[in-house]
Amino acid sequence: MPKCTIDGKEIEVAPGTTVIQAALQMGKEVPHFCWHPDLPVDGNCRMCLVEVEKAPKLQIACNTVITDGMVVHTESEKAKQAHRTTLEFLLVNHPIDCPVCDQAGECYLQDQYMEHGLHDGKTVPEQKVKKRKVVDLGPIMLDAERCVLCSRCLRFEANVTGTNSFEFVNRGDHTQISTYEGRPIAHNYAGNLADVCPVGALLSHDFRFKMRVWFLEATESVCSGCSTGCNIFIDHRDGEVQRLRPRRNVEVNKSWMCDIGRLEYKEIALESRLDAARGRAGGDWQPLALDAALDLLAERLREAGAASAFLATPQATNEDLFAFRALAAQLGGKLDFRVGNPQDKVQVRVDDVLLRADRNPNTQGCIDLGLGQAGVDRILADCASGAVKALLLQGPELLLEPGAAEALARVPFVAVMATHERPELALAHLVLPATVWAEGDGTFTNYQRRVQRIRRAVPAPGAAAPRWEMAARVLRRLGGSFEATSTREAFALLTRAVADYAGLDYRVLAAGGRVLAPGQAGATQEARA
Amino acid sequence: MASPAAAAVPPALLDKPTVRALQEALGDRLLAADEFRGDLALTVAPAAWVQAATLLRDHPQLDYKLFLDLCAVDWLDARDERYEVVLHVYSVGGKHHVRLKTALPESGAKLPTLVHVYRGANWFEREAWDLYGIVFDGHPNLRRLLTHEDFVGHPMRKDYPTAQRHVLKAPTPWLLDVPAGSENVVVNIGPSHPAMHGTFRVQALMDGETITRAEAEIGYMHRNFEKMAEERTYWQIIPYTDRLNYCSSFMNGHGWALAVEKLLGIQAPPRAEAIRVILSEFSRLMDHIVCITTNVVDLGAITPFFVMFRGRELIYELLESCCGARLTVSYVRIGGLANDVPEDFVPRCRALVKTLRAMIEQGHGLITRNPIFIRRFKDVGVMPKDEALSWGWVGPCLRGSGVAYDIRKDHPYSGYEQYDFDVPVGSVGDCYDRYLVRLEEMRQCLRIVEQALDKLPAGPVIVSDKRVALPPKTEVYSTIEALMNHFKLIYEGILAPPGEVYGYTEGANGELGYYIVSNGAKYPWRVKVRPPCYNVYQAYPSMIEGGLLADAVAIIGGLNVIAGELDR
Repeated sequence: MPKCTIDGKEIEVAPGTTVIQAALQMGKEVPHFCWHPDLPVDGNCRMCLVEVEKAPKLQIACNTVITDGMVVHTESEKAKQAHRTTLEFLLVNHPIDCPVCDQAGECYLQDQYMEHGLHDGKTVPEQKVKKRKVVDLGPIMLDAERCVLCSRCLRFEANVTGTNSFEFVNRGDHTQISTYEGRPIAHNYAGNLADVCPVGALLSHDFRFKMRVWFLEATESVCSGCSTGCNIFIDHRDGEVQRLRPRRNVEVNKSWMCDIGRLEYKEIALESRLDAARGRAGGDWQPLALDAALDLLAERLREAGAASAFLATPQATNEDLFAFRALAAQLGGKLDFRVGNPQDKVQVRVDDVLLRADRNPNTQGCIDLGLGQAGVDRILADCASGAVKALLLQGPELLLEPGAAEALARVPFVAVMATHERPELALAHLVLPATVWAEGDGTFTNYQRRVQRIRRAVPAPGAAAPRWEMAARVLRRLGGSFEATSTREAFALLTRAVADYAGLDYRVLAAGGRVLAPGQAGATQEARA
Repeated sequence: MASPAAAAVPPALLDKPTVRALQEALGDRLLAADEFRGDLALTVAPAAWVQAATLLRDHPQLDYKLFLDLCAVDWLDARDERYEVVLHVYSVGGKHHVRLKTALPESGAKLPTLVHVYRGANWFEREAWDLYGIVFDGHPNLRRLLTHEDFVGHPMRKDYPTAQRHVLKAPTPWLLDVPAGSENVVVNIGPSHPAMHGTFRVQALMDGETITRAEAEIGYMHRNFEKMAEERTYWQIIPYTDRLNYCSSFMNGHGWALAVEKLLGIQAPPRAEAIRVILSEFSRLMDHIVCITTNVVDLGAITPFFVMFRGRELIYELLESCCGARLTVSYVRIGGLANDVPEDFVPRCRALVKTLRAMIEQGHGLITRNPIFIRRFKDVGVMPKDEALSWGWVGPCLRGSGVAYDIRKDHPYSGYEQYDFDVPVGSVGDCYDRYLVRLEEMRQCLRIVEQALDKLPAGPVIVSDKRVALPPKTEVYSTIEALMNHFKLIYEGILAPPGEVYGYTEGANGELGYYIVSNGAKYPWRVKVRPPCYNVYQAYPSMIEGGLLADAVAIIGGLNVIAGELDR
């Protein structure tokens, strides 16, 4: 393994590591524009020039492979001057746009100017080359004047989505980025173009002029849109989520996420969010305090005993599922989760990039916890025959199934945990308001059987409560025990009860999640039903 | 010594008597020593806390008799041990500050009290308990000080949500334990009493006209400046500093800017420093006007107030011409001043000096030899020198008690070493001495201002460092470089290097200190204001016990307790 010295510190690296990667391993960031850890190297921006001993000229750190004994200086006078000069050239035609540019606060030019520039500008505004501004490319917007021609967007289109939407047009000072005939971006990964652009040339239309990024707090979480489980940041301010963006995880989603997942945040604050419990004893809906609602649910479940049925949802976290399972076990009722057969789609890809056919974040968790027991058809049949006296749905999926309405009409008590208002809730007798993924801590298990943490970013509306908490409270009312006052403790209980999850805890999962060993209890559970 | 801790004490520092003395006495319980920007800081094990403080105070070569500040810092997850308790003390003879620190774990944040070593530690430990939840074993009265009794939680902890509110349902009726069936009358002085210049409250148990026991309650103006500082950039904190001692607000900003400049290792240009001195001295003068004239109003004399407040009005107008504001000026910037003074500044100041000089003599003529005041002030509220140091008295109050400590002389800043001026020092430590010290200081203020005007250099009023100072607006609007610079400085602010400093200036009330802890982020990690009148006022209840109620009124006026600085 080659050893090298960067800025006086020695480090040993894997063969093939470039200087810029080696520096990052040491916690040092060499200034750059065109280099990206998940895109092929281009070496066009010339910002990462560093001094390498014995080399006659400065070398670009992104494309210089470490050789044994190499000595690198990233902040020598020559290197610093090169950084400053490169910045000067990049800024010659850069428009004076900061007040109207969303990139402020996460702009490579701004950040690197303060650290590596600090020079006086010499170009007069009238001399700057004018290019196209506010070009509508669908989900993103192009401002060609701000572009530093780093070609990251080009390389993304060529290598990640394979769609090759961008090209350089014109020459010299007038070079611009462009799509063919100015056509909009038509694939599901346009948001990544805005992420990947180091300046404000490509920006998200959804986020445009919404919020200055320095007001945002970033909470680490995982996308709930499909079984891929892309790692994300939830950017929020004062209890409102403003956007989602990808969080780099080399094993799951690299630096990317799809546009469908990106827009999931809009569901959090819809008007249709349920913020209170309600019940109807035959006639109209009556609002209920959550405690009273849980009392009612406990009473009806107790009456039903083993003639109860429980349907979990793969939208729930592992902690939610575990508490739900405990509740079902307490009563001896029938349990399943497979409305619409999500377990068949967990691995199935929709494209070559990220998206999967299973639009649930935690089907694998349901499988691992052995929730596929009675069979959904069997439960529906029991409902239709009147054998089910109380039915608790952890999510509203069953209410949407064709033919379910008839079967449910024969069930004297149907309770559903839901997040949003919908007409199908009229089939239930009790509605409990549940929190969504951004409003609580927990874990999801993705298609790789990787257990990943989600974190609470914003408070839940009104009386909405986490599913695990509601189940635990009902369980205790029924004389059972659930010794956890936080998701962390609930997860600890889970790891003691589910063999594959043994030894995990929130700290262990913190960095990138943890993949469970393949071919374990989960697989056999599925076969059983 | 080959102990493991010896490695944490750099050999170069062992030359310093303080470090050597502690090393010899504590051995490996002296865990670390370092010097940053000229500040010496020593970390000891909690078990050696009292011993170390006592040694600092009593060791003949060290003589750190002046108690300055004791506070806590919450490191949350950044360190193994969550809390740090920090003590600042000063040696008048040795002209040396020192910082003593110890680390406490989250479960078990307890430390023995220092009240028996320094009297002034009393309120500081109560404040650390109130705001951080640190228990001080052996403290005689470990109750909340700045927050009210219905408050839940410890608000300076990093995991306490800033926006949380707790409503106080009813004020505490009794601050004193009054024995049942007692014939003594309990009098509430404040918080809305005109003689309590600001909102503070004292409850006195009276035997006729004599106060037998007194207890103070403060916190009515507590706005938790220090927690707000943790969520603001170094610049954004400047307007908050104005609202500390609001009678001389420019000086608070001056002290803050100097403390941050110390942390950054930069210096404001000479013109800025000279203007800072001029405006600080005018501010000192106007603060003393408030103190003296309101003190005598309480005793029945209204005329000096009307005569001398005209001077305050003129200084307000001067400040307004410089920065647009009269009371809360926000005129300093890190690295200098917000803008240069107007063109007529020098002649205007010279005219002002003449007017103020005449005004001071008028006030002097009304008060100094007036037999009523001499009867009310002389030998009233005597604070002996040693007690004053133990309480942590500074400024005119300390100098009235005979200790010649003035930061402008002993640790000159902003070019004070260039100017000739005297520091008046009393001998008895009574109200009269404190009055005379302030009166003479006003005269000396004008001497300094005149010299500073004579020497006023030309040049920029802000450091030319793009990481600290905003670029000129013409450039901001016409070059992308200056625009980006402006943007970064506004939304990110100045990025101070990781480290900690204690910056101190001679405010109107004495040593105004800012202990700033930086972890390299855009907001400071911790800011502790060392408020000079806090230590002064802490002694007040014990000063008035055994005296007449009328004396209590005479004393409080001369201490110049400003609620904005006291409670923060």
